[in-house]
Amino acid sequence: MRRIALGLLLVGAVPSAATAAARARDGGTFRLAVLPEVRADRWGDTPEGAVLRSLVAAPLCRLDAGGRVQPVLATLQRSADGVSVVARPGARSPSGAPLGAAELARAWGRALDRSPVARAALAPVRDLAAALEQSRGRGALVLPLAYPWPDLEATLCHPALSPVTGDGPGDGIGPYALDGADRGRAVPSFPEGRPHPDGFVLTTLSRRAAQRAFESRTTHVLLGDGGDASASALFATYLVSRPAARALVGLAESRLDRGSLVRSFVGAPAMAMPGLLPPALGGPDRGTASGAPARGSGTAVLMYATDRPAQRAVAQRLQILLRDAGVQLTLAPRTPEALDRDWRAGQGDLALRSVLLPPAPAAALGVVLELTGDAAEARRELAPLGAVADAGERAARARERALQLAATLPVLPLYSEGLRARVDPSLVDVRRDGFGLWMLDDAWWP
Amino acid sequence: MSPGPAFVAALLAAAPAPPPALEAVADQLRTQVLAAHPEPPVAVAAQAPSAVLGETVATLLATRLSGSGLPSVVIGPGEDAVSRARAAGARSLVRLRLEVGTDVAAAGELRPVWRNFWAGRTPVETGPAAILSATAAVDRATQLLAAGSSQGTGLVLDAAPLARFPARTAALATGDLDGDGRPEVAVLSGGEVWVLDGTGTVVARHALLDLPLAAAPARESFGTLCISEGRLLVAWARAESAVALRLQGTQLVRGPGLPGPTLGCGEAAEPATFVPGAARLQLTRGPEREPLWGGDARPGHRLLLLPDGTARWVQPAGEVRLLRDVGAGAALVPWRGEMRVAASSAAAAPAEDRLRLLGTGPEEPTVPVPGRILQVCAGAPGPGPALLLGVWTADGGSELRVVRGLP
Repeated sequence: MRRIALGLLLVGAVPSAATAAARARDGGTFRLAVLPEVRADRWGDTPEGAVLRSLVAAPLCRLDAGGRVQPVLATLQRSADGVSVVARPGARSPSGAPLGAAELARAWGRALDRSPVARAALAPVRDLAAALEQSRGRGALVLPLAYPWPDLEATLCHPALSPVTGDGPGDGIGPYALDGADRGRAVPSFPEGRPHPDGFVLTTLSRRAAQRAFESRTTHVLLGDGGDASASALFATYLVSRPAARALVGLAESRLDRGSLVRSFVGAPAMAMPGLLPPALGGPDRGTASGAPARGSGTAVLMYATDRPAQRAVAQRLQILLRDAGVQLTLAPRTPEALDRDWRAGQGDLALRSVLLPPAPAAALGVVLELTGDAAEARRELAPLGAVADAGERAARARERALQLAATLPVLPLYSEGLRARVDPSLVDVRRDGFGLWMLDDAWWP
Repeated sequence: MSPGPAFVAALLAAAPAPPPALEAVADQLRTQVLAAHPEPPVAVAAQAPSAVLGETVATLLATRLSGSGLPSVVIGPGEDAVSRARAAGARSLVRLRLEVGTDVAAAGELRPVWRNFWAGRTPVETGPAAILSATAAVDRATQLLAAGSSQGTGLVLDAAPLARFPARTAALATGDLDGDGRPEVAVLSGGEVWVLDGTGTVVARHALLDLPLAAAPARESFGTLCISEGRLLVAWARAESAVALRLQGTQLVRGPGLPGPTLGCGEAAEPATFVPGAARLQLTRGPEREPLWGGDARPGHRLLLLPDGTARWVQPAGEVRLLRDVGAGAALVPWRGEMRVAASSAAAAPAEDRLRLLGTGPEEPTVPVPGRILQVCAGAPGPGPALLLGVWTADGGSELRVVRGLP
């Protein structure tokens, strides 16, 4: 009898309230640990930095893993000759100012000064400066196109174009508002709804300390370490060169083993990128055999971004390779903003540039062409690609064109990296977007 | 009335050959077993959604193996399969687990059961094993076999989704919107209302993103839809106010506003409000004012989905039945002359959900559904009793799936 009673009790207890969670629960504090280099990436140029920044500065739209565009801060409307960007009602900065066309134009103006990805994304816009200027006092930001560009909506979701209303990265419009330097609190009026946790706490830790914190489950998300080799790796690094330094690139390439460069100096998740497009976008994963190591002479200056450990290590490796070839390479570290500014101002002979490519091959080729700094050439290449209406065919043409251009562009592809992050498996509803970045907005724990 | 095993036996007798999907699975498994060179005789045990499906697959595989010169016997599945295999004189055991969704999947292992004299108390399960796995596209007969255990009121999931959406579905409704006497399907998803015909073709779309935003919008995709007197009443938890839409050709035209969301539709509808900032509803009349995951109302019946994973089913004459393990996707459904509750599970983020049909009797037909069931709605298009499900898929989008009662 007693056994029967116990059995009944167990049957009743099986679907316990503690596990019932078909809808998300609100509450709790989301704990993130980041490595110093992730913290240093103020503008979210790296995948890890972009994930962190998206908590307080959401993108205009979400490009999901299936390539579909979902509005976040703005809706995008196609017209006969362009795209109108209309801020959603309720998209407001932490100070309460609504996101209007003028605010968006100002934010993009700053992004254009800083980011080659932003310049590439808006390159198909006809007379961009005038389009941004005319936005003042209008409800919508109208982007007329210089040539057909079907991938525009997808590239407008790039984190580099996330609107930031002030001068600091914390002045964006996100699901959280900064509450001090290391804390954020959920924003109840965010157009996509408040995030489920009440707030987040950010801790900057050394790699060892961050790994320990993650393993002891005192942090939910670790940014800067770990990662999934099967996720798309779209953070691509290139060696760009001035015309006078093209010969040096040839010397370096003849001595370069991209595979061992990735293994020894970059680290997983990353892969060698022998073509202008990374393997994740259908670029080649095996390079053509280069000839015997050549020799040369002379000196050159290589600029790289400080605070990017992989870039520093790769720059030092290139210095050794070129020394063996008889060339003396001087390394010039810069902040990422200064690197972009100084390179465009004509400083340096060579530079390492890392960019988070959009997941559409034609748009990614647009970013590579932007790195060459030759706007006329970019337009000549991209206009015929944009005229191909079918997305699959356009991607195939872009891959083909990238193979042909590899020999002529002053851009040497090196490697592509994926997001370095670990997420507590007990977190629910964390997915990757089309850029391979974790979307932490929906996270909650049962 | 209850076809049950007799029905399935009749189905097998009527079919001169087993379902092609099962034959394909058995052939794949046979090749893998033969490649592993097991010591004969081989015992085959298969665990499946229904006993008859398990027996069919085990018998098929044993027949195939015997035909290839490997003597085989069928034993029932269970924890003690090893000892029963040994008792049946077998030297090797194939243990399989079968699942039927959009594919028939079988996976398991092949291991020796012969106990080494020197093994002592060492469990035989630690011996070398070969992993077996096979899949094949599902067919209707296999689905029927899989549903065989549900004693005559089984459920079957249509193999293909009725439609796909880029974002999660927030609400579903079925009803006649264009006055042609046939029901349309209305879906709220990604800030848009979609109207589909019975074949899943989009008839009209209407964006709600221009509506004034609620002071505290809900993060989850959440709302209510109701088709009543040719109008589609839409309440979206991210908008400040509800709207009424009319279908005119391929256009959805806005009409005068509405008070707000409801549980159920029509005369029995229970008025409610959204809880600010959360995917929860609160009734605006009656004694029950706790936040709800959702619910339903039909004449004489009310279903309240509580956030602890239970549901309160208020039946005529005020009788209240407490249901356990009921997720947010649940509704009252008229089913073969009686009112039932179709319910998803309350588990957090399952990769595969299940739909149960609860009634007054002891039987609970169940069907596994890949993805997470977000909504359930009665009156799916097509013949016979059928349910429409909004299912969140692994890629972040969603699907409309149809679950039918066995004929």
